[in-house]
Amino acid sequence: MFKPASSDRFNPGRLYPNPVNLILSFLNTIFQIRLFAAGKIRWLFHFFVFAGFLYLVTVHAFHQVTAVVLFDYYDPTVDPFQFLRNLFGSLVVAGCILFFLRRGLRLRVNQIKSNWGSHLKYKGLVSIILVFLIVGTGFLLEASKIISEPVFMEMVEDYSDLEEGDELEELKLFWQEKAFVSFDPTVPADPEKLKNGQVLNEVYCISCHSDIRSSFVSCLLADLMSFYGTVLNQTRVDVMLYRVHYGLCLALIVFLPFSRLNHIFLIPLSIAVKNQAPKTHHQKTAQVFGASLFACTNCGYCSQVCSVYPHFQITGNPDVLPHSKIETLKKIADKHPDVSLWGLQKGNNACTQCNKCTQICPSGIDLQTLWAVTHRIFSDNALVNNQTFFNRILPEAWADLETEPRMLIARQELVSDLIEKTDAFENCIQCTICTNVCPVVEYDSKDNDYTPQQVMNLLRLDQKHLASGTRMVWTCLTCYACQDICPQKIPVTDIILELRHLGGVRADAVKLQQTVKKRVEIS
Amino acid sequence: MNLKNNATISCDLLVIGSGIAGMVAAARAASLGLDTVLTGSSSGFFLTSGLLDFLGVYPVESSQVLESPFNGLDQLRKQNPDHPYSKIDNKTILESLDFTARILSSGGLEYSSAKNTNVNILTSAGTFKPSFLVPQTMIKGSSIGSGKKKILLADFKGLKGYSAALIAQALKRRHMDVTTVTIQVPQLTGDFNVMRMAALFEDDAFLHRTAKQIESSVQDREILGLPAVCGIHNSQDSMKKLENLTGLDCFEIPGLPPSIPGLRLKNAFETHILKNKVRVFNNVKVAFTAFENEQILFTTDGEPFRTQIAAKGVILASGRFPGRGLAAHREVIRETVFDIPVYHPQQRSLWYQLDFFSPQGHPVNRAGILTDSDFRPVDKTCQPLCENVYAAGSILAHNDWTRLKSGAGVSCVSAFCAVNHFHARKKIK
Repeated sequence: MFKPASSDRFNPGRLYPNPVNLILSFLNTIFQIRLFAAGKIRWLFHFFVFAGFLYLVTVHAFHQVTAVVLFDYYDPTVDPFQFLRNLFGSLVVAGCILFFLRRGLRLRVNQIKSNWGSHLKYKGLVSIILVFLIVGTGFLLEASKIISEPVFMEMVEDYSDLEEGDELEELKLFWQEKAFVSFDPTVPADPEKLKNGQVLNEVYCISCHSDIRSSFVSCLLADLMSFYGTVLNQTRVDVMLYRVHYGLCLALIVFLPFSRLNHIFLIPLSIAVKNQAPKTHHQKTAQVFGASLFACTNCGYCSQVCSVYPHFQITGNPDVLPHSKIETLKKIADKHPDVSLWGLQKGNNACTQCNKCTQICPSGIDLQTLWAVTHRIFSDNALVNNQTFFNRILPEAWADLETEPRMLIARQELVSDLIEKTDAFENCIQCTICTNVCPVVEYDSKDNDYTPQQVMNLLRLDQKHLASGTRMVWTCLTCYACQDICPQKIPVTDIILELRHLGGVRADAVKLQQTVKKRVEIS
Repeated sequence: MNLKNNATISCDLLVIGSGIAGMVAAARAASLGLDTVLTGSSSGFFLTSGLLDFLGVYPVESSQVLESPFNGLDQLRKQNPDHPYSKIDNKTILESLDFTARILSSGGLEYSSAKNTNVNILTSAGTFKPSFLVPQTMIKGSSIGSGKKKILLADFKGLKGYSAALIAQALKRRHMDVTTVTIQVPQLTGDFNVMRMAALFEDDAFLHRTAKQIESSVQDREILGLPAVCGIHNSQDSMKKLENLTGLDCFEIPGLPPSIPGLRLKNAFETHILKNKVRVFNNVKVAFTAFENEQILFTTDGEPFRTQIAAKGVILASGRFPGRGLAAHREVIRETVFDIPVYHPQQRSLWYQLDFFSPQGHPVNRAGILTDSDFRPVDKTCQPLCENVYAAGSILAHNDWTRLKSGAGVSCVSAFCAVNHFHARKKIK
């Protein structure tokens, strides 16, 4: 169940998933094993709600196609169904209440205290409220039906041949005493009549009505409601509640794809899709954006295990953390107008690809691929870190950029000394000793464009910007071997670092121009 | 290790400069039981050829190559009494050169001489130069001077700065029988540099492949010449293996910097002196502070840790202009540690001849520190500046080492003698 995401990369992808995997995935989903492994208590709340609601939907809501078909004695008021409905309903209510408590009291088990999720506190709340209301109104509905005199009378007419008279009164008494029906006027108590009523009940009612006390919650509610029984019955509150209950269920169906509840479809989908290793970047983008992105339930486990959490503590950039990054990505996918791309880019760059978030995600989202795709999207839109930016521009192209007007921005405070003052590099005798000891040249000579002594020579030729665009300047390890060994004591490494700074200033200016251009095009 | 910001160490002898003179001085001091500290830069040896010259040409104007250095020494002592060699007798000279060969051998590098005569070594320019102490990997090449050997020259495709064809052309003008072959090196792509090439020679598989490529060119050849890149740490073994594989005598041909034989020299010297407990400050400059109580005080530069060195004696082997032992200003040359007055032509216009190849050489190359017979720097009145400060190596005046082919010889000999003198004086006290 905890296959690291990276092992998927070596999987060429299967056209037909094998049956064992299919069964395991199915069980994994039904029992939310990933969530169980991530947090037992949260799993418990969720399982209450899930199991309860699943039962209610399959057996109660769709009883025409499930229970009725399977059990010929089915009726919602027959045990065990009557009891089970209440049981599972109360599970749902308990789970919902626990969810609210957790949110409200901010019961988090680990060290994260700061308001890292304040903008996400209310996410998904509507879904929980809806579920809670549905089940709540269900209980109320059942209770209102229990106490309802009109419903009783309808039942009598449909299922018995009793007319107004003593026998009816006896039945009414039984139902008043034993089944919480609220009659107006109240039937006077009489043990003899009660016994007769019981007999009548056994004749007419018992085949479809088990002892009402097995619906333990509704019973309790009915007992309370019976204080206002007359009023409630007259206003036919049971009919109202039925409409409300049914309406809420329809609302849920309508609301489902747009709310957090869509995770019930998207999580299995995303897990299934994850097992198919995508071949191209476009397939990857489609996969992550199509399915995984919206399978996120904002549970926050990913950020609890994020390796670069201290980065967020110091910089305060919430987009360092996965749970926030994914929300920003959703906003981008929705083409939300005010999204901070800069924050997301910086945050994503901090990611070390350690894979912990992907391993723990209870929804099974392939977060690692998501971050890689994000990185790629930024590169495609020229919003990259300077290293990648430079690696993709040929030095000659970079030198051409010199003809554009320069806008030097904030970063220029560092005074560039070594590359302006010629005596730092003019003594270079091109002996190539620095190149010979450079480990980067040794490792990477095929892809290296300029060697250290060639970069020094570029400076001697007054080609600062060409020099700052070379790959050498950006792949330098700053091991200082060249600077140590230079016979002419040229500060080769320090010069290279200054060239990087120069390049960074230039890169910021170019990116600023490009971003402005893009905004103008869009608007 | 003492991490205090200002540590103080004391020693018997501080050697400033880690070139040939500095290394020999440190080794000699250690062998005499002196507590020695060596400081200098690590890059100088890359610019040396690896050959240790003694005296190749005398007099300079004649441009005549001496068959034996001792032939020219007598004349030199007569005509040039200020030359460093004039201060030492032949026996000591031989002793110092022998000492150098021994310490290099202890460092894992074998040097040989040809019974006190000069050997002619082929260079990568196709010229011959006389030298005295020669690495074992180069010595067999001295036999081709006779002109009777059938020579095969090999180069490597992509190795910059070395062409077998160029050398062959020069040799053919001397009517030698030369053929060439170019070896492909598939694992190095594009232009590669000598360090990477040299590292490959320590790999047996590479040697096999190289021998295989040479096979077809071997034919009737007797001797194989290669660029001086045949390994860094085990060059002698690599050459022997190559000789076995090709069936030819092999020799290296020294060339442009960065020089691998120079690197081997550095490694060998370093191995020896570190084995003998010399303390080394690598790439650290020292600044002279004061003379105090029979000690000479220095401070190392280098934030944040500055070390005070209190030495009883100093060997100034800081070299000439490239190593910054001497600094040339517009009209004056200064010595950079003690500001010892430097002997040089009075006017700038007299520093150089107009013709670069002028047979007399250039006067500025004879500039340097004047010393007494014990190699102590002297002032205008020929008195030593300080009892325990000595100078050795290329910083000494009256030695045009490029024309005389005497660079390494003067360095080894003067360093050896200076330390001997210091030690003798110390023992007396």
